[in-house]
Amino acid sequence: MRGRGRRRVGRPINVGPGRILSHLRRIDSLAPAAPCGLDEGVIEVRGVSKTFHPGRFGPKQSVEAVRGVSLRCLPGRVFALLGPNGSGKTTLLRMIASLITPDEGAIQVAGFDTRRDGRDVRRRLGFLTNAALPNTRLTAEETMDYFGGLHGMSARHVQQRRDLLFERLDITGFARRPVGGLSAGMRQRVAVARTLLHDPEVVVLDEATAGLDVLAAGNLLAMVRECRQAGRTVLFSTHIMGEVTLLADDVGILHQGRLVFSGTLENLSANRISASLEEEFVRLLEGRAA
Amino acid sequence: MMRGLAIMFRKEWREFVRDRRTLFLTCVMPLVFYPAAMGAFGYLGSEQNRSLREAPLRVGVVGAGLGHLWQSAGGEGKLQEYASMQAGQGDLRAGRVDVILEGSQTASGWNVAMHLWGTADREVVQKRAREQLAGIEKFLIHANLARAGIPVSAVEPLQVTEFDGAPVREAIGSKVGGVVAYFLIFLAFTGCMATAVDVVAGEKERGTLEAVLATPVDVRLLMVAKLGFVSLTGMLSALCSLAGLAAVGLLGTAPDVRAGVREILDANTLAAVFALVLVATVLFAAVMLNLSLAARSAKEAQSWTSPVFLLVSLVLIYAMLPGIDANGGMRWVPVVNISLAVREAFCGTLSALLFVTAIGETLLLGALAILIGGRLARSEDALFRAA
Repeated sequence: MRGRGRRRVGRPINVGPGRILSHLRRIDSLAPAAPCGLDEGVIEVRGVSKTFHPGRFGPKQSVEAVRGVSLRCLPGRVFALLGPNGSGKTTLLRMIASLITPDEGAIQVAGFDTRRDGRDVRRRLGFLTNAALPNTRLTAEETMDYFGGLHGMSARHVQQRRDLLFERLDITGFARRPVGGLSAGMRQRVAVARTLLHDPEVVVLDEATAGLDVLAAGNLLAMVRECRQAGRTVLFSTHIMGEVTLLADDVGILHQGRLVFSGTLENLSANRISASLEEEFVRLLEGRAA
Repeated sequence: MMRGLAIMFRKEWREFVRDRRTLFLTCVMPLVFYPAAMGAFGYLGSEQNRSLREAPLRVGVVGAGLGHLWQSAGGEGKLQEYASMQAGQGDLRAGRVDVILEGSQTASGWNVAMHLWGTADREVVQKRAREQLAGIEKFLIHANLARAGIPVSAVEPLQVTEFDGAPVREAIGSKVGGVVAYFLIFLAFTGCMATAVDVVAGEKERGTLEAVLATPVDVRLLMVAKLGFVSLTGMLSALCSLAGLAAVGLLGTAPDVRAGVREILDANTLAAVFALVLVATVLFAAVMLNLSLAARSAKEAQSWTSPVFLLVSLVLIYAMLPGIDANGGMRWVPVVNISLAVREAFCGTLSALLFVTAIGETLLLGALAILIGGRLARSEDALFRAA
């Protein structure tokens, strides 16, 4: 099993004492994580490319999903990855979560290389997509037990985290009902609790509000704010500008696999040419397309 | 590692016992429905056969003296005389008579034509009519011999008495072993198919597999847990079927058959059958999981597993046919050799060579399928293939 020893022989980036403390701590609440220097990226993406080649299970023709993308997500900040459908957001996020491997470039999450130390990355990362809902035949409690076990947590630790998250997310009332019988909003709350169960340093959300009603989406956005307050780094993808303006500190705009903008939200807002951010977003995409 | 396996296995089991449809398919159907259906069909079939054998024959006769001959020779059944064949044709077609005998006496004996309506449902009574005619022929021969003062032994020099040396177990095993082998292996297959599609392609489609892959769990360990679980459901299905069929054999049959079934169900036979079905189940589970991994959705997985289902069904039906045995090439045909070995085990005639060949070959194929599954489980294209 790869542990912290492996991390030393890897290529950690700007690992200061605060970061190490942050990795070592056993968090029993949503308390703020240990502070990090603002120049240290919790997620570092460097020149990453990914092409899906035609093959037995692949697409009919080659698809360059991500092309030479570099970005940095700073600790305790919310990074919004904005882009139209098919722009490569999901592929990039899957690479960050070490679910798929980049063809070129490197990604480091909390100091671990996704290609080499995938399991260490996944230990420190909570990943939620709108498609990945909880198993419908399990109850919320059983879902937590299952995922806690997969993360190697002790039964006592799982129970502590579960109780805390269920209370915060108001799940206790339906915790023993099969998830299949719950409303979409309730299911989403269970999915959020599952994502935060192992107290990840980094939370990655892939269009997590898609398909949710206003209330459920609002709950999810509140969770993102709470994560930021707790010092976690949040990277979320969306194609809704409203979510970006509500939550994001930093913004990356992805179009046809390339990053066409990366900077702070203030920067994007201050330097915009168009009347609104939505129009600026469209302008950036059209300019790139032209 | 064992803890991880136990966690994954427990989750699959929980989902399985809460899925009524799959539970019904893998446990209730093999335990209750198939054995009950088999018992019911067997009972109804034998009752029908008995009634056909015991019902009085209805024989039509055309020709002077033929009816008298029939009665003199001790022919059974009700006679119906017709003036001509055309007059009786309607009754024959409608089943009011089983056969019509049209005959005339000649200098040397009788010329008889037997008119029948050759449908499957009348085969038994027509066979009985033929037996009656053979009896009449014998009666005429004996009468001729008596007139000529020749002893019967002059024309019947060979007296045959049959002795069945096959033990009850082998006799019953050879009759039902093929069918039981078919049920065991077929249900092991359907048990694997019912869950394999759900635990991989279904989870992929619902996005729950991606959530698991985003944890530190080793994907190969995950697939081992799924393979173990799918094999378990296949075995569960086969064992339920064996239990149901054994119950039918022990409760719903004649006392001599019951004794034979008791003799068949000894520990050695059950151990051999268990080992044979287990290796076949692991092979089925690995193949089904591979197809499920490669499919985009549960629907696509089902469309891929259906041809395999048909192929396995045909292979098992072939293995069940009379005359197909493990001599020669059949020993090397996958699945067929397992089916034949199970049948031989029930008969008590399983050879070590067939047992080792069937187990060894199936294990090799299973290992190959698991190896392919291991590669598929590391394939991004297969794991994240979108519907």
